[in-house]
Amino acid sequence: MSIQIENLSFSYLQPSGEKVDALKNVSFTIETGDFVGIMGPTGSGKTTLLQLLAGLRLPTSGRIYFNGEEINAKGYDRNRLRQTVGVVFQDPEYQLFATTVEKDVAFGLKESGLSRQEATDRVRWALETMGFDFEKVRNQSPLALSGGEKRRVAIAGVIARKPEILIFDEPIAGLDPFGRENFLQFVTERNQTGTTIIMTSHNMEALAEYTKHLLVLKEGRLIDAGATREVFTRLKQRYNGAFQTKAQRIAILLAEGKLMFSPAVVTYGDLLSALKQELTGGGRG
Amino acid sequence: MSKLSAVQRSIFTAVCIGLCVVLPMAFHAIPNAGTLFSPMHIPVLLSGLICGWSFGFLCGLAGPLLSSLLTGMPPLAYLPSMLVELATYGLVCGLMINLIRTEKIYADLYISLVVALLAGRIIAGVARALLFSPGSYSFAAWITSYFITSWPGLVIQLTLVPALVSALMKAKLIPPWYPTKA
Amino acid sequence: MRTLPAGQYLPGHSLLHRLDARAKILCALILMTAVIGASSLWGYTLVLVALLIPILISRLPLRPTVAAVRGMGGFLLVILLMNALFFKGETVLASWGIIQLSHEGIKQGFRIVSNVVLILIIGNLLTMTTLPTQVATALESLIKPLKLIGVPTEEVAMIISVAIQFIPTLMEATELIKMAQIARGARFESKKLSERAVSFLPLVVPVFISAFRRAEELSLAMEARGYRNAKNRTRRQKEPLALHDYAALTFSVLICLIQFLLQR
Repeated sequence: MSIQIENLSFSYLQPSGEKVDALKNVSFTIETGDFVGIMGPTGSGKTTLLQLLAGLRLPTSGRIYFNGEEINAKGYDRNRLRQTVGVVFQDPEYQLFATTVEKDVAFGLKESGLSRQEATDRVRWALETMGFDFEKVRNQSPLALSGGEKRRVAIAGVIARKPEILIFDEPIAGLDPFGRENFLQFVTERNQTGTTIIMTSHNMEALAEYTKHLLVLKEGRLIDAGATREVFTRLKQRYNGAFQTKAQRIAILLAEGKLMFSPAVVTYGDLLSALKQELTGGGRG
Repeated sequence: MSKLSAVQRSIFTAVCIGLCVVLPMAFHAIPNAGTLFSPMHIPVLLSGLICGWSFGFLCGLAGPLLSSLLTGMPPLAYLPSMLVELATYGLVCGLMINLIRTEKIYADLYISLVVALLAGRIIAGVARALLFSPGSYSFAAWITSYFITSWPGLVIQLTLVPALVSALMKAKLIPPWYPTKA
Repeated sequence: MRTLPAGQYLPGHSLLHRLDARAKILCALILMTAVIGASSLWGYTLVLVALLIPILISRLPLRPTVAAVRGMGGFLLVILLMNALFFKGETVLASWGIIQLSHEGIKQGFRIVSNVVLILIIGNLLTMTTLPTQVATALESLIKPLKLIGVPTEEVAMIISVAIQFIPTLMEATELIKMAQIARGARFESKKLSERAVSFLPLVVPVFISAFRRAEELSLAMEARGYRNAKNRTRRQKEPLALHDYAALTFSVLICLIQFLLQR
């Protein structure tokens, strides 16, 4: 499912009459099976963009195409849209409501045309994919679970619908290192089986290590877009280093100290290889 | 509910008052939702049940008042009867939940709710007949507006409020009604 | 991103903004009484003209002030029609079955619509020139007399100001919750009543859970900082009313008096 955004803009009026442009003229394309990160300072329009991509808001102007069909056009089947895109917001408590975990995860399957047995199997699959023991967790109250478990149940509820596109808003913010790694592994696996992943994050390292493409927003505008590596390299020296990965920062410091010059470093892996080369081979001037 | 501290009760009530303003707006976009289940009633009933009769009474007064001032819903002209109605709900269900102890949470809740909802309607009806529209308010009008057209709302409230109490207990935001004997 | 529809505070330096909130609330109440007391065309004209003065003084942009009234246009039309067509009046102009268009009905309809609109404008003038926190503090002062009958006025005032401050947060959360569930395929139209009730749960439960969660955090934070009750909090000294406050109060009372004299 390829996504094409053309000149997307979103503005709203403050009560004082002032117009706020949350998004200005954003255009880009996401191919099927891509893993896209969206980064930018708070207030840059990231969440608005996600909401528009998921068809949860109408743009002020501009068009969004899924596989060439405009999703906000009159004839487009909204149900198909809901089925195609799954969104997980940052706070799992915004989603959980049912008396049992099983019922909550099954909520999204009500209109899917699955038989009772198929639905239960799907719920089982979703929960087990998120690392749960189905029999143990199915009758627990989702509201009584721990924070990390709630997050995983919320995600299970969305992947149970098997959407082709998965959108996450700040999925790893506030997670401990294990939670972070587990989540990133999980989305990588989903991506490998063909699901398009779109996620916003402030975590440069996570974006650098896992995403294939990046979109960079600032004050509602798309200031850069492209392959992850290239974007990080281009942005390295701009905006006071706000978009640097830690590996890049180290490489810059080493270069300033005239100890090592390796401008191509983006990830920790790159840094390690560069250090290895430096320390075993000969210096590069 | 007696386990809640005074500060907790105050802040929970504050949040219920806030919800009296926010819920009608949120459900405005959904066809028939507002007229159907009177979203403002729910936080008032909850604050009475969870925090006690005085807090429920306050919520019933402040909620509609604030909502009217800030969002124009209900229109100020209709405010007085709504104030009487909701303040009674909050007051009565707060009193009832303290008096009724059937050892079964849901039974306590349903009884308190039914009595409160009935009392509120009776008192609001009396107020309208005597104070707000004297002479032009009939028994038939009372039955129609409070029971016939709004009975789906009643059913929905009776479904939602206990479900909410249960959810809040599971999320450990309010202490269990009947603490399990250790 | 959703904003409160009508009457939200607009910053400014006009005389109306500078009036003491307590005076403004009292003036608003007095003027509303004048509105309700009106029963003739002259009565309404009086209030309308009287209101022009604060409207002009406030230098508020016209659009937001009347936006709320426009938004209610449909509702007001319905009220007008309901009264015009169904009121049991004596001078009947036309009738079809149970519908009867009467002179009194039309008058009654206009009366109610005018009441609603004028009261709305008064309310807007108040909320658009006064910060919610100012309103809350003013209310706290004004209800002090209730202490005599045992009402804990400081606590009540605290609760109301916390409620006001929670509103934007609650609105944002509710928006996101709606979106999250709609994205999961939630639907709110169902034929059977029992299903309709249950279909609201995915919206209502998360809204209350997140609201109470925030409430819990706030109350814990308050207790951790030594808060026990509102009575013992230190307060800013209340400034006495200024000349312009008294002028505004006198003006409002005058209008109200003229109104009642007009009724004789």
